[in-house]
Amino acid sequence: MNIAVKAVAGIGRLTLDIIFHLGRYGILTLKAVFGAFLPPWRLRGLFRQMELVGVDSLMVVILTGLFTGGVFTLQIIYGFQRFSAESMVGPTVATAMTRELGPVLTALMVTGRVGSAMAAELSAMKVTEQMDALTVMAADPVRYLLSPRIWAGTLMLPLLTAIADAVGVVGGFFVALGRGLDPGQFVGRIEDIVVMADIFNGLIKSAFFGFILTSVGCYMGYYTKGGAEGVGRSTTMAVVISYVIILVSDFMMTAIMF
Amino acid sequence: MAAPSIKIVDVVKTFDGDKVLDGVSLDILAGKINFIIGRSGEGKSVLMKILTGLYQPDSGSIFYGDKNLTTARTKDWNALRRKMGLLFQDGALFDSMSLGENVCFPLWFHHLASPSEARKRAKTLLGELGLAEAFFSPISSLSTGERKRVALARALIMEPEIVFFDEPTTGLDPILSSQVDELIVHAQKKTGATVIVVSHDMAATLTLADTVTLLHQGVVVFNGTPKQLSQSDEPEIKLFLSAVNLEN
Repeated sequence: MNIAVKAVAGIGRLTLDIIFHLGRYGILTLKAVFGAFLPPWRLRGLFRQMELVGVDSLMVVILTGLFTGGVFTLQIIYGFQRFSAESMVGPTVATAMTRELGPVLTALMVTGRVGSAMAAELSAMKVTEQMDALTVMAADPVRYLLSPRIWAGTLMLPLLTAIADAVGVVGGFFVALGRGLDPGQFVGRIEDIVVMADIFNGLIKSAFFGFILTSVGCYMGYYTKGGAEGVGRSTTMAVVISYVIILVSDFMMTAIMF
Repeated sequence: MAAPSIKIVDVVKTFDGDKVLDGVSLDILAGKINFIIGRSGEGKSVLMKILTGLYQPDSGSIFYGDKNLTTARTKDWNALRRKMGLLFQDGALFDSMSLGENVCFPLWFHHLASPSEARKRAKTLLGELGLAEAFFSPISSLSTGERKRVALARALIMEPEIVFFDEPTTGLDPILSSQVDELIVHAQKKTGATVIVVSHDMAATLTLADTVTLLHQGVVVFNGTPKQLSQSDEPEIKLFLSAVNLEN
């Protein structure tokens, strides 16, 4: 009986905890997203974050896209050749890259690079009272620090994903050539099979992932408690939670979109 | 510029069931140096954070002039905060900015001066604090004393009417401590501001303060001049003074 009561109490506490965090995350994110539209506008901060999220992530995204397209081609080409379906290798790579691999892997890579950095930076600012200093200077930390980060993530992820998609197909193309396909076989049917909805839905997903990875990083950083230990915990949690939400929401969006 | 008087009425603040402030009432003298002293964990910094709007009291009121800010909206707080400066215990300087950018930040953020005008004002202020040459230095290259001075410059750049100092000499050697003491007097004389210092440095309290408030277990046990404090026969005050004398 005692164990059962404890178990129910534990489930209740966990449920309340989840509701509490969801509510706080929702309020903070709404403030950050809509606060960006209130004057005075700080475009310089937004452009700086777009550079950090987008331009500075370019190399890692290109490498990820290139090798993902390449290895995916390596995996499927063997099976497709057995069924004399070589002409389907290109469309399959392009579909997989635009629908799934480009958006998801780009989001995961950018979470590791940018989401964690945002959580760490904001956590450090929190524990060293830099956020309190902003507040006392009548500078709202949510609008000054969080708004540009979240908008930068939401705007830049689709661009990075588009690059990853293109580079992935190019990677697949060269691997296919190396495996004996001729260029026409790889490219020929892509236009017939890959439709614009594949590309656009992938980009919509990536915008959502960009929002998730930055808003979760910002949330974990903004509500950090404790000293150096708190910074480390927030950074780890930001990455883990973002990964889980990205993968779960990817499944749900894919089920709805395609 | 007339600094507003500050009135604290029956303020209570609790953290996780622990009552840190238990009905604190206090008048802060305008245009004077007001010290709030007490042992660690007695609620001094919490009171300062309530006075700057960083914490909301559970009950009680804060009046700036005749305006009750306890239930004020962020907009009203921000209007008041433009007249405030706060020197944080560890400076709370922005690591991502240079020394000069830190000092100029409040002016830039509120568009109160052009970049060149802000730089000029910051350099003048830093010059008075002996840091004019270090304008472009990164924050990481500064010593503890230099950080305090930069933080003070940032707190004073808006020419505030109220300046808060949170444990300004904690962790400093005697020479640096006396330098910071001079900065407090300098800040008050320069601006005529109301200065509120949260501290447990008795030497500074007795030499710099116009008024002293002693917090003990979340309540005010003394409020008066430094002379009255040192001559008091109250047991809590005697205990505090003897403990501080032992520490020093």
